Amino acid sequence: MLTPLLWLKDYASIDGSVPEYARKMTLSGTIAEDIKYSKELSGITSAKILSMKRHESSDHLWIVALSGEGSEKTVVTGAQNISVGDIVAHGLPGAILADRDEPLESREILGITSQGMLLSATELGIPASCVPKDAEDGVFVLPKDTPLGASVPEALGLTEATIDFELTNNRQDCNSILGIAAETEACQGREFIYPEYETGFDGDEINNFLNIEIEDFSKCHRYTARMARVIKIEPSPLWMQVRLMASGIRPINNIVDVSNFVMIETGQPLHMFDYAQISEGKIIVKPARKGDAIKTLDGVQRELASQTLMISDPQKHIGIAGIMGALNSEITDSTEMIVIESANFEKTAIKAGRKFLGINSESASRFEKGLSIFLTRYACDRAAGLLMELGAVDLLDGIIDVAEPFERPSDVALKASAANSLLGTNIEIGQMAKLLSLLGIKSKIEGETLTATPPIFRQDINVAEDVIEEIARMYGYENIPTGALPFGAAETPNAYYSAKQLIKSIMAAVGGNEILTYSFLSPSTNMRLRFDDIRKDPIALRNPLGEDNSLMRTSLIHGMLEALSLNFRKKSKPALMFEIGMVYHKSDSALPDQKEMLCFGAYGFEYAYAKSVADYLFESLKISNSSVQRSSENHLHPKRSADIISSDGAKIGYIGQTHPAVLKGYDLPSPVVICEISIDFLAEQIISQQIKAVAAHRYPAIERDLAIVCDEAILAGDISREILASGGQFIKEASVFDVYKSEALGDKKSIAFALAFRSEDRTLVDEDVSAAIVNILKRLEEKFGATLRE
Amino acid sequence: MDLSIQQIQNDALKEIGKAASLRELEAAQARYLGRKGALTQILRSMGSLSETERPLAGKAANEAREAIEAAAKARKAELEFNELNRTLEEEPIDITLSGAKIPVGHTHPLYKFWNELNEIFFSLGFSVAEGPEIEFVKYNFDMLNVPASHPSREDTDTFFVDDELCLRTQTSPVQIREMLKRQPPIRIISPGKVYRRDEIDATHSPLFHQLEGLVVDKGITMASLKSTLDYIAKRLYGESTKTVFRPHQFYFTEPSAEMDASCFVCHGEGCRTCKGVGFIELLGCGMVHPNVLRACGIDPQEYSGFAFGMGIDRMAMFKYQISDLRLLFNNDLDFLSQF
Repeated sequence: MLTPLLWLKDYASIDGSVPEYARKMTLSGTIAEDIKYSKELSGITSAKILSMKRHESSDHLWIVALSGEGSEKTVVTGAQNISVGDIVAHGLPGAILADRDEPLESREILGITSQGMLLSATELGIPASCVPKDAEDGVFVLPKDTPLGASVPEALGLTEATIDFELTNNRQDCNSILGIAAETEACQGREFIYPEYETGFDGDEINNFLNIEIEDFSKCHRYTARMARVIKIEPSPLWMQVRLMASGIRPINNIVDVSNFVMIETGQPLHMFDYAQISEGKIIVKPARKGDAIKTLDGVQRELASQTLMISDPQKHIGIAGIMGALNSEITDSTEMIVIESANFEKTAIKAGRKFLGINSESASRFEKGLSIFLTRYACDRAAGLLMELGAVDLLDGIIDVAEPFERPSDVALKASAANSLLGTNIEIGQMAKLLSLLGIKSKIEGETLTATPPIFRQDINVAEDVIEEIARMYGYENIPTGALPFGAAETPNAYYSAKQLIKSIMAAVGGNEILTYSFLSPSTNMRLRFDDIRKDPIALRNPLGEDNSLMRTSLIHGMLEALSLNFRKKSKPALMFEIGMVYHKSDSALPDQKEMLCFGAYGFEYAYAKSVADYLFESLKISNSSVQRSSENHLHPKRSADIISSDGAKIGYIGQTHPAVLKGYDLPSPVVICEISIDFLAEQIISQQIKAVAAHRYPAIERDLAIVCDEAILAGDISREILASGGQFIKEASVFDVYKSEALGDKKSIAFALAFRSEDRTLVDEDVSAAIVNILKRLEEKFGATLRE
Repeated sequence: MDLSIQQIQNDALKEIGKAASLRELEAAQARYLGRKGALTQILRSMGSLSETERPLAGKAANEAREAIEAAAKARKAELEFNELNRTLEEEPIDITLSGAKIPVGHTHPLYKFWNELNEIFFSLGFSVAEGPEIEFVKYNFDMLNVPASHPSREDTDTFFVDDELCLRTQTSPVQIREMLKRQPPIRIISPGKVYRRDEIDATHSPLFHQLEGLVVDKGITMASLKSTLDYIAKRLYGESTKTVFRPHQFYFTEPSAEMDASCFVCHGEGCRTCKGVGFIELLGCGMVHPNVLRACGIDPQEYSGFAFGMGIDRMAMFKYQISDLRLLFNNDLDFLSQF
């Protein structure tokens, strides 16, 4: 809420400095987001144009005689929007203007000395968009009632600051000068009383002219109208113009200005119709029919939708309710009678209409946030009174006020002890009542119970906690005590979360760089990964930020490859990257499957590196019962990839070199390795783990190397598993330490294993081991056709 | 006699001490203890001594031999050590060179900051609660008391899968899930990814991170809220940190507040980090609305609670003076390896 203090001070006073006041407002919940001070101007006085004559040697310059402060002055000006009798802002020699640093000097223009100059809006520091239309391109012509010889910055209120207050959703009542005035008084310890705007014109003459019908009260809760005969349409007086300009609104004429003035002052948007254009003197509030159209005040022809709420007469639409009037009923210079509309439209109806039409009017945005039904008549009467005061109209007797039944906000009862125990304070009940009264909330005290009656414009006080918040605001949040922390025994830590932290720290220990990627995916990217299971069919967003982000990822691959690609292109050294993140899969249950995965990857490394990283991770986590088998993941190299299988046979991840065809899409050369492992699996292993220590071995192991020759296709892992299975009771280890190929071996390979035999009871002797090795070789021969290397 | 043994020992020790090489040492040792050595001669001549003299002389000679042997052993070790050192002197290397690089891993700055924050809450006995990112609209909005017509529910603000499912816009639905699951006392933080329909720029992202907290128990007051959050700010930014609580509005809390903390860079003086204000808006908070408690089957007459929420990305950016939010999602190793 942009609040000119000039205007605010009509209703409230400000103690101390402006920043002090702003701080008080902020601390009581109305955040002063921005304070704008205008530049300090001087040497500018109002003056009347006594005479004008053309400069002899120019066809556009005027020599103007001014009467203002002191003696008559002569000024040369190029402005064309002035005439004799106009009151203008005269910058005297030495004047400080808004748009320049140096003081104004007397100048000779084509032989004539100009004593200062006539000033434009910009030179006064007013945006050109906020001044009357005829002053937009010329000098600023002041209203006729501006006193002569007065300081123009003061007369225009330019010496006052403007504060932009940020409002919370529940305080739409503060989107008005009066609402801010109420908070202003309250936060300075004074009670604010809303001014009364009764017109005294309470007869029923209006009923002879106008009839109002609301088709659906759920769309229009209340409609009030007054009528008036136009006396004179002319510019508004100075005081009204300066308040509008300070609020960023361009003054137009007395009737339009009143409409805008009342909206800013009370928060209630109004509309004025030319009565002569309303057929049969009847206004009907009803939705448009599909296919209807209307030309709005901005001159645009607009198609309407069936949900758009309209103001109509029996023959045509004369306005879009709460959003914008129609050109066909606009006030013009020939308007003789006007209808003042003040209505309360349902916020959802206005929002639907506005969204369909794509119009963002000040009026619509106010209705959308919801207005108090009590404002309707209040603002109508205020507007009528102002128009009379300005001498713009003669008001007709009476008001039309059609409304669904409504009640003032309900009383809310609370126990003082409940308030104190929610706040942690010790405020007396009488003190509570006093604090509430600052906000116009009346209290009735019966014993421990306080019954609060909210003011009519407050729609946000419905339950005891709402009242308690008001007590707390006025008491001051800073006065609520702080002290001991209120905690007992700690909660049980979340083991799953801790497991993830452990995994992350292991990945960092092995040299991994943690990355963070978006959860979105484009359809074409997902196609490229050539999944053939649930991951092929991602969950789609109804309203994505464009097609590229329209799906929820089903794996972490895309983000990883993008990160690798970026760093490859930047010529970073090959490095391990990892991420733990969620993937999203369609499911039959109400909520999609959402599982976390660990993904790691690197460019410039081959399969074996990734396998070593995975081994390191598994060994660190003491997971020993998983294995690998050839993978059929389509996005991986068909022969350099593996599925990771848990001891119960479930696939818990995969590891491998990325398929070169996939890499093409990321501008990455082979080899790139990638791995995804289920966090559920890893976490479960970590959580269920129970270390049972055994004493260190007492007897030394006997070690033997065993080099065998077998077919290329046979997996070392399968052989080592067989060695362990056939090596008797003492064999403890069979690990590969060399793989060797040569011409002599042909299409076979040699694998060297380091075996370790150990007993817990005694030191083994050669005989124990040689018997085992004979057996091992026999089994390897039978199963794999493998032989001992000669 | 004794005198001559003593003399031999003295001479031997002197010579051993002077031996400059192992060979000299061996020669010296042989001269005294060898077959023809001085002390050996003495021992051989023992037979000529009287019954009473012999044991005394024998003892003296043995002692002398032991002393000489010990000295020779010590000298030998010394000489060997010197010898070894001479070899090592011949093995100089360039001490500025390292071997194969052992790569150092890095935690993402967001998570690094996040862990720091978690630790503070863990020290107060909070536990972590997590939940799905694709969430029921019911949990993300309805049960949090957000009015049906609120703009945040619109397609322009929130990502929807369909009318029932959306990408959570806050981690508050996790609090709802937790309250539905168990009765108080509850003391949780729910950190996680959240989504809002913002285009990516220097300060906005459709995906960002929140840490929300919830405490529900008997006798929880707004004073408890202030004490706790003030403590958190001091732990995070230092003991001298000041906090200010301002009234605010959220649908799931009443009364509601925003907390500002004095800027950890300028301590309230005003600087670039805090845009000259001296304070940084840190979090939103409030007393859990009775409607929310009731919807989760918790009796607001018996229990009360407070909740709070903060944006981790923004706070991490403050902490590490990161100027552009996009850097957090860019995954550039140049950037990541600073943390």
